[in-house]
Amino acid sequence: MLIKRITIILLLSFVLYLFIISIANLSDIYNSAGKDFFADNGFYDTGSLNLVTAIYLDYRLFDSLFEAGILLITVSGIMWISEYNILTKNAPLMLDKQKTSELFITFSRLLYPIMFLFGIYIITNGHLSPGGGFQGGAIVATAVLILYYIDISKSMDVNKLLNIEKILFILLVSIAFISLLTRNEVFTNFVPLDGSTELKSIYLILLNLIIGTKVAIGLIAIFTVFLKEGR
Amino acid sequence: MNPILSFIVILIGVFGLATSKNIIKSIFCVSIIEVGTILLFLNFGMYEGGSIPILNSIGIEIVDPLPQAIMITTIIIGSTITSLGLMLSVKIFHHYGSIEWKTVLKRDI
Amino acid sequence: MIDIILLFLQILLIIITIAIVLHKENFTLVILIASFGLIAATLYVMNQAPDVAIAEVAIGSAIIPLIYVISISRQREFIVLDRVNHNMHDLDEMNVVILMILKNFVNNNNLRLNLTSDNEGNSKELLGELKTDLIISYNNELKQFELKGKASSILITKLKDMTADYSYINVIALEEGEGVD
Repeated sequence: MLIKRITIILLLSFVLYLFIISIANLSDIYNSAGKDFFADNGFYDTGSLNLVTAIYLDYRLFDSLFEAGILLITVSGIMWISEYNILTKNAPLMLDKQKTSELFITFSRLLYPIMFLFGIYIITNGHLSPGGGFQGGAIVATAVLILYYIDISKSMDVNKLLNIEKILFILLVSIAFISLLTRNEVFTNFVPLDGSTELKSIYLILLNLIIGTKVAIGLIAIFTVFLKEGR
Repeated sequence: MNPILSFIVILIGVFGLATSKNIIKSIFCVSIIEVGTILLFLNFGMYEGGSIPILNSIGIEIVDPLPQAIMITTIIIGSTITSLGLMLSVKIFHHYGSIEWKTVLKRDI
Repeated sequence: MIDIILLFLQILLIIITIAIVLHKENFTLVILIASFGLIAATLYVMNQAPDVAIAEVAIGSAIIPLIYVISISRQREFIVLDRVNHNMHDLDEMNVVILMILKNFVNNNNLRLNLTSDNEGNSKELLGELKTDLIISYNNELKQFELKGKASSILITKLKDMTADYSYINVIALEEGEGVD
């Protein structure tokens, strides 16, 4: 057992030595052509001040579509593995009847609307300040999960959430295809290239809202399936 | 930042994955490897004196925004893989009765 | 000044990583996981990347530890279904003996006991459907208590060794049948 650990440590230190050799002169390789392109043309092409949002919503929308697809497949995979809708024909189990304390319930009732509002603010201001669809969706999911502290027997219907998520994914792909008609190029903004930057930011707000709702619903569905498994 | 220290984090994660006796700890070592990778990629685009890639006025030197856009999707994919692995480990416990690697692998049923 | 803070945070990250790899308990690992996410997010901000930091905090320190806590607490309990008709009076002392055996068994393996009682349904389909680990029933012809469990589980084998010298307790291991599609 000890020999196995020492062998692994020796092998890994050899890999570390190779890595130290290979990055000795990193600054000679790096050129800044890509960064200058984004700094000069990023705002006038896409209409957003946040360059990271411009990259994953306009220049490389293809990656974000597959990202949303991975979320949908994983949520449906988790729902298929577990058995969450056993009919209620058994008596309630002994350890599930514990009650949460009053302090938690009062604080949860106070914090829940503030967290929800903060999440929606971060989703819609994704193109002007740090934030965006993915981050705001995670915050909204945390806000809704606090409701389980208050009353554990009221859980959401997971099948309905999955239906809403499928419709949102089809909507996202169809909005990405609209630009084929106006600009002769798929997966980009549907306002033509010489429009004003205010018209271009409509597309950014719309896509951020759809992605944010989709991520939030996916995370809520995963947590509800974990809670209801086997009861 | 140092690229060497973030590579050390990756190697400690690989060591933990290879010699762990618990299913839950080996699921978390995958997450440690992912954090180390993100630190390494963010380090390639940064240089001293740059500022965050949000334009307040044209003409300020900014850091490269392309690695940051890729790393956002990496975090979300890592979290979905973790939740899938945890659901599988709950089913393994109900079927076999223990969550250690040796006892689960020995019973060939 | 900033360089000293950076160096200190990076060394703290490596110390927490080593502590996670060498830790032995299962339930206190969750606090280390949450603090690992927070320090990583601070390092991301110092690398001039605020979007990545918001994503890491919201997912890696708020949602993932909740999922870890739920799945760890499901792996520590032992579900028992009780189908004995408790109205017959001559079984009371044997009920107490069975309860003591179950409590000793549960304490030896660091589990918690989760007990319920119901009286309907067939045994085999209940075991496959309801996700219980053990079903207690009373056989009137043989005058024995029967404890049924899954054949592929290690805990049923240990229970069989523990009750080998009691004459009125019988442990049966049921094979898992094929599911019907």
